[in-house]
Amino acid sequence: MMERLRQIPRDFRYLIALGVVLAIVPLLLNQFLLSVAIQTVYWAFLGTSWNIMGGYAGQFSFGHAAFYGIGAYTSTVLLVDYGISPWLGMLVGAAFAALFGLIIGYLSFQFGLKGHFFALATFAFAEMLRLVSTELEIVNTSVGIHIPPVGGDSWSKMQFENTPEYYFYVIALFLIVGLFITIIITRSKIGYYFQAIREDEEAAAALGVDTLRYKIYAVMISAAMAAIGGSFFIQFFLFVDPSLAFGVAISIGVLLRPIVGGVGTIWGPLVGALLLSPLAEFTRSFVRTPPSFLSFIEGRAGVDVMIFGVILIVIIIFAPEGVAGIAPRLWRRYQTGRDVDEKSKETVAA
Amino acid sequence: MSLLIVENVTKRFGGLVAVNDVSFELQEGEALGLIGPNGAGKTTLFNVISGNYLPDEGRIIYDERYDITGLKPHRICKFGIARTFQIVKPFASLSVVDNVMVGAFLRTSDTREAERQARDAVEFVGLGTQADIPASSLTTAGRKRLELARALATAPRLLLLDEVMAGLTPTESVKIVELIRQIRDERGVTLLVIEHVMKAIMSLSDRIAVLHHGELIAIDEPSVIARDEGVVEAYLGKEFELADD
Repeated sequence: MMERLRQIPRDFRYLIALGVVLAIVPLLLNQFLLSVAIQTVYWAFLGTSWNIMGGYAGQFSFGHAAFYGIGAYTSTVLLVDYGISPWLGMLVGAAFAALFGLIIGYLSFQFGLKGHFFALATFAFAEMLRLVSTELEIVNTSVGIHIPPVGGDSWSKMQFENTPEYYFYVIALFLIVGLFITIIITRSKIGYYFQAIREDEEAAAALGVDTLRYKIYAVMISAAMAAIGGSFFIQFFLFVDPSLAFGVAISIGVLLRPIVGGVGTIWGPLVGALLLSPLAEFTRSFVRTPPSFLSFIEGRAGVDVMIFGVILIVIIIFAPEGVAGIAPRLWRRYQTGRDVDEKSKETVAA
Repeated sequence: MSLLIVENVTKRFGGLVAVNDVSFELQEGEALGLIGPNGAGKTTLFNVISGNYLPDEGRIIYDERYDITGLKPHRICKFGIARTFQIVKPFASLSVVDNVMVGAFLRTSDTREAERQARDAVEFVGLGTQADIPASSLTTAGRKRLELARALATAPRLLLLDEVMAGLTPTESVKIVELIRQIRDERGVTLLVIEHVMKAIMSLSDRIAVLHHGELIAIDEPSVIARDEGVVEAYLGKEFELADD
């Protein structure tokens, strides 16, 4: 058994371990901590989606809300207006988002948008969708859409009022699948091509990489995953409006996790989410009921965002490759340091 | 047979004619040197052949059958024309072998097969012991070898080498010349080589083409080129003639 396990590549072993941990976690948590855990895993999933396009292929998206919102609205409208199960709805949403990714990817890359300019273009596309949705009847304009609660658990409607653990298991499964896709990508031609494009597009093209095609692939994969994240959250929250779906808070939140955790690494988005999401939840609850000597911050919004800002500045200055990026380096340094200590002890003893 | 035919190629940048009505043929298995003063249009001609620039006039015929004029660089690479860059472009954060695998993936989609081919190429260019370090920690000479390995991994029939010896010490240059010779002799790759190191290019090439102000002023065997008055005047200078004798 152990022998078998050892033959599995390292990242897949980590993924199996993560699956086991995620299966156990909800059993140990109370109601509040469970909602923190759901948020954490959900943001890790969104970060994983961003990481494929922004991290591996190096196409920085500042408008991931566009894809997220397409997923959120598609499954919601299909459910509320047509009675179609969100499980099916989220796949349709993923397909729409991938199609939208194809269109904006083609438009941007064909006309040579790169770096900051591409990032700004993605932001503009997300804002465009937000503004359009405030006027669009089919998504009930700026009023938004309520998903009627079924009152209890329903797998077909993806609502788990009585057993919120199921929400956790659903998003945990998505995260595992997302990470699995990421690992497969990094080990195959498409992942090598993504990274080659990120490092030097001209050199990649000279080696036969169809850079336009592969950049669009990256956007489409990333978009489909983000859309599924959007569908999930709206099913959990049971309400969607233009700023929840296409707002800049989503676009920023999605890219913060991989940047803090480690851009272009498999585990970076998860590490980033583990650091930031609980922090956000605890700060929010802390601000809701602060101790008496801090009563002046009671009910003030945005403290978590300020803390995020500080963390981001620290990370960018001291560890631009992110926590998952520097952790192995520190670990190696610690180990070499220990080896040196051992050796010097031996020398002294001799 | 002619592997590459360059036919009346002209490339202009605004009012500047960088390559002016250049024609020549490259035989399969040949090593053709391309020399000329800075700004003569050597790299521009390379960029036209490799698809980085669209020529204003003229055609590029590959393998006597395919008109590859104006195709995208990745398509041209697929035909079997690989190039290196004058200013090296390693994928800095990837390991040496991963860099080369990007090239190998042109001919296979199987990761293990790509890695096997990449390790072969890495070994061939003499980077075997550094295969698993990040490309960013290679020396200049190492990076030049990496460029070669990556290009070779695409299994080219024609290799365009843009100043692979620039920035190397004389000892390193000698080794690279040896390597390039092997690429032609052992792998049967046809070569088009831009180089400023005269001794190297003269010994390496079967023929030499001389560009001056975008025009092809001579194309012949090295010994003839070294005595060509126009070439000596335009580029080599009197001292070369003396030094060579």
